[in-house]
Amino acid sequence: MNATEASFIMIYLLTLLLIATDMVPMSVAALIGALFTVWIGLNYGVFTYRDAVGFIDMNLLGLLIGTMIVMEVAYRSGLFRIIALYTIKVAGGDQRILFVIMCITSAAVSMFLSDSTALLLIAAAVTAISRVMGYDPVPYFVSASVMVNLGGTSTLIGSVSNMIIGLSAGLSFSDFIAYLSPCELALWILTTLTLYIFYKHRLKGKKEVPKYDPWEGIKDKRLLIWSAILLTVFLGLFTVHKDLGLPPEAVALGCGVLALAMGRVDPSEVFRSIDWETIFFLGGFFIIVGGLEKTDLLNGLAGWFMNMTGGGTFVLSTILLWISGLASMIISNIAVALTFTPIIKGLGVSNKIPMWSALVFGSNLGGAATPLSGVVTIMTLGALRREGFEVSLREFTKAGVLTTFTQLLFANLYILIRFGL
Amino acid sequence: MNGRSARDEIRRRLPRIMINITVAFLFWIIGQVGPLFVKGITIPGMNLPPPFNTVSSIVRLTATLIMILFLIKAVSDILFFTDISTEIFLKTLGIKEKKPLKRTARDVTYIILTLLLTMSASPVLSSIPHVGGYLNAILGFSAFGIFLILIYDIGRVTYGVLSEKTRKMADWIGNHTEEKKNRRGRNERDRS
Repeated sequence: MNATEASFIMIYLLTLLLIATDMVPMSVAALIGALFTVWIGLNYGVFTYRDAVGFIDMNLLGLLIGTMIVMEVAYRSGLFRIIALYTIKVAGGDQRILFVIMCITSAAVSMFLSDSTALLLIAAAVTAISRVMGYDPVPYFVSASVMVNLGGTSTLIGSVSNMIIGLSAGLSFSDFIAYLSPCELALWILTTLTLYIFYKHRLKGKKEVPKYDPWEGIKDKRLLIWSAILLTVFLGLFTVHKDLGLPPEAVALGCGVLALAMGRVDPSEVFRSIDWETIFFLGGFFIIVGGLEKTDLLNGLAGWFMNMTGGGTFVLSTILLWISGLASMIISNIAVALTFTPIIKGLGVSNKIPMWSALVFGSNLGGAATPLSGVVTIMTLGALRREGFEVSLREFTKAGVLTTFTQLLFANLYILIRFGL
Repeated sequence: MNGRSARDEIRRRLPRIMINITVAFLFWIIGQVGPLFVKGITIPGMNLPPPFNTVSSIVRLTATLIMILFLIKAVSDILFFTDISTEIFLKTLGIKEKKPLKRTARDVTYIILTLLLTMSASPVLSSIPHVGGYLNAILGFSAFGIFLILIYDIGRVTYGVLSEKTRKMADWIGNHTEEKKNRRGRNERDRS
């Protein structure tokens, strides 16, 4: 290993450490790393400036921004709020039914919304219900964060890490559903059951739900209908985009433009609510990983993986699933996906679908294991604190680790059976 | 600091450092000059192997040992100032963390940052005509200094954690032994 290779590894470690120690926001950490990568790469002749700019995957950023715009408009229309309020109404006052419905709704909503937005939505509903009914909000909040994290696993637009993996692997929206949704649905049931057993003793009692109209807060019904139509078109196009010869980012950006062109929302407000933190983090981290790729370090790692496992698909998938799962408990799942994507590309295996699936599961499922695993878990603790409830890190970690390990074990078994390994 | 203020500690330790270093320096001079006065005199009645059979070597050895003793005494006080200055330096860097793991992680982060900054700035400084070499050397030494301070802090934190764990283990063993002893005593009393 020469000095430049060592420096690229140090930059990678520096970025992860800056994020892990909360010294700077994650986007700034990635941008610092990117700055060092470009500076050292140019000064020591590893790559050119044009190469460095090329490291950023503009297709992914297009997909991300387009999806964010569509979902933001749908969120502003109140569509997701109505869905959440109706599902709670269905539950009546029974805590156990309410808990199960809340779990499933959290996962379903986060299939389309970003994790943090989905959690905000569910948190608002749970807060209102627990205040009115006098229920203990802790089981609902902790379970919501676990389920929101799980929800985004099976769709291409469910999480940023899925978008990264999907675009790199050439997996379409329907591929994701075909390969992963059976496991995802089973995981919803399994995780809900695990969480239910964990919190059973705190979910006793039934009270009458006060009457409320889910449509009460809707200001613009036309916007809501437009959003519902647009979301249907968006999902429909995603399902058939491969047959139409359209790349997913074109679908996302096209629908994003349509959402803005409806003229019923202020575009500047929509742009302000785009998650720029994630976009800048992605841009920076793309450059860091690009620098590592230029030095052939990741290819070397792929070769090492091949030698270590003997090229066996099941062993490779299992290792990838667990390493990425454990890594995303500590670091951002976007960083995990970006790091492992070139490694999988470099593996000399003909069928890489099991490995891609393992990475999707691993990078997504580890995100709610501990209170520090991701934004969602931190937000959950913050929301509970605002409500006057303190959840010990131990209690959260107990629930998170229990569900994460159950999910990873199940996903491992699913990969074995689904791909006939 | 046993309840003393930093100013008291400085008042107490600084003169001690000065005295210890002065005495150590005096003994170094004695070790250099003293042997000249007793040159060539062998120790009678003792069959010591050379060079330990001469008085001059005994004088030099004794002076050196005493010098080392005083230096050790000075070092324990110097370490106090090193701790304070390290703490001040690290605080200016933003490392105020009390949790050992997070503090060590921050130290490592700064070590990597220092190395990368040195590596990035080095080609630029080298290209400056005439003074480039000197600037590069200054950069290298500064980076090395920061590196040493951060490594020292990691060592200090690790030492703190280990000593705490060892103390807890010793307490546990002590309590366990005491309990066993008491139980045995009670059993014997019951039997009698």
